[in-house]
Amino acid sequence: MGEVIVITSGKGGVGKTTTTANLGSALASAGKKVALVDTDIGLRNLDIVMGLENRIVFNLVDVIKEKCKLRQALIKHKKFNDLYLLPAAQTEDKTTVTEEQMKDLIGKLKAEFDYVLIDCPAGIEQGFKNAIAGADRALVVTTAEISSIRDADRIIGLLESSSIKNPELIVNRLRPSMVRRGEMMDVDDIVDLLSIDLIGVVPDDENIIIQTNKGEPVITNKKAPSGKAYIEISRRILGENIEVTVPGKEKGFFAKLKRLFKKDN
Amino acid sequence: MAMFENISEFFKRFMQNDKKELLAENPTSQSKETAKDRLHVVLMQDRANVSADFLEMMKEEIIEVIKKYIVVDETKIDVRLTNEENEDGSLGAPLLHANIPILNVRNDLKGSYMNNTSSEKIEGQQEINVDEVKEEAKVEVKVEETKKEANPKTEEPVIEENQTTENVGVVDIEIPENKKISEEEKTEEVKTESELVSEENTSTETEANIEVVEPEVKVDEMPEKEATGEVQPVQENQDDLDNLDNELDDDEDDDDVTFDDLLKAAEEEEERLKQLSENKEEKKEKKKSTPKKKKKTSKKDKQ
Repeated sequence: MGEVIVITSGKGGVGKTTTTANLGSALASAGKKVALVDTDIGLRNLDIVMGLENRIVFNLVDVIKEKCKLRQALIKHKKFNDLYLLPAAQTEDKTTVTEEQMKDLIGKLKAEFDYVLIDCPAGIEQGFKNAIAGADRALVVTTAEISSIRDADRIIGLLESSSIKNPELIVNRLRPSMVRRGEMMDVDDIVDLLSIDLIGVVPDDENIIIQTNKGEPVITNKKAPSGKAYIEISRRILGENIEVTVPGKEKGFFAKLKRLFKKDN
Repeated sequence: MAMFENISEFFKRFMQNDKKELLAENPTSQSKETAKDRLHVVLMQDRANVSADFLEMMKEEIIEVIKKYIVVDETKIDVRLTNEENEDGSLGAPLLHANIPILNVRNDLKGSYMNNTSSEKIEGQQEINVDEVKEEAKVEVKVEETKKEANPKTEEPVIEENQTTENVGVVDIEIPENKKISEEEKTEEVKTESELVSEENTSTETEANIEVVEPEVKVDEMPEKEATGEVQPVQENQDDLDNLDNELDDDEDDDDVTFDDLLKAAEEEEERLKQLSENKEEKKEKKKSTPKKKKKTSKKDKQ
């Protein structure tokens, strides 16, 4: 029996899909059997971020409507062992599926995989409710912007009144130079406001765009700071108790030296 | 020389950057602080509003508590969530604002306090009584059953053999109002009642039922079958209670009990149970008291 983790945020565009893709890839690299599920029916994106858009035959809705078997819809990634994607449908919308159906489906996946990562759509309506049905654990993604924090707070409230307790926070797209100048809230501020446990901080990184252009997860680029952050989060998911590295606040002489020479840090 | 200069410049820059970092830790630009403050307020409001009645409920409870100690003018009570005013005029921390004009301190404080607690006590006792009574009723049922042999244990849907008893309208399994006199019937009734009670929540009505039943059970232990006089007053009490339907009174059929009768009885019981739960919420009515009595007496006469 595996663990089902839903990655949600409330606000759109803060990095749920990117996080799902990268965490899934990182966990698979660590030897786990991972299934990624895109529940953003009608606006699917996990497939294109993973570079698997040309290999879709069946999707989530097909499986639920029993037009095909689950195995037929799962797409196996060629570069990562044991990493599978269940894509969303592009021609339906989020009311096509019910929470019960999702629970069923997730239950089947849970039985076969070590980790099932559910990419939740933005919003608080049926799409969100479907995505959290059947999840054991939730990761809430937010940026340091006021609107995304507000929406994250709402989502946390909704999660806590569901069966998922103790959601954990990922602060995404942090810009340490702005934090230093006092123009962006820092991680402590955000954790204070939202009052949930922090599981990771991912810096803003051009490499995300570059890698997504290519259809590869950013963790494949060893030098990308965001990739390192995602790998660290995946280690925490696997149970390692490591301290959260906050980008821009790494201590040490060499870190400072690096900052000196970096453009925007 | 040039190299030395380069190196010294390099180190100067390095030091300067550190200074910059130090400065940055006490930033003069406050946009992050503004964002934090605004978010603080907004989140608090969002959270309070999401549980929509949050403020309403809190307000009502606060007023209830205050009313215990002082007499207030309820029309002029003002409770709301606002913000503190900072010195510079900006909005500060969230504030629960409550304006409650006092008319008088309660002089009857002691008296009303005692009233409150005493009524609570009574209710509590009532509940306790019910439980005790229930238990007793059940216990008595058991006792009686063990005493008797081959007892008719016809309970609702499960129809077991009937009884050696003849002349017993097993139909009246249910309820207090149709008390029959035979021992077996009474135990059944008691049982059903206690079952009913255990199924449904206690109410004063059922409680009274049970209380009434007990004496009947005891009466039964006497070998006589006739206790007309004793039964009647009991029935009167019960008539005051639940408004149970009179479909119960089908006992005017055969005196001989057949399997069909038992089936019928079971079905009727189910109906009554349903209706009982509906009727529970109605107030006590005194209908049909007379006809029932008449029927009873006629039956007794038969027997």
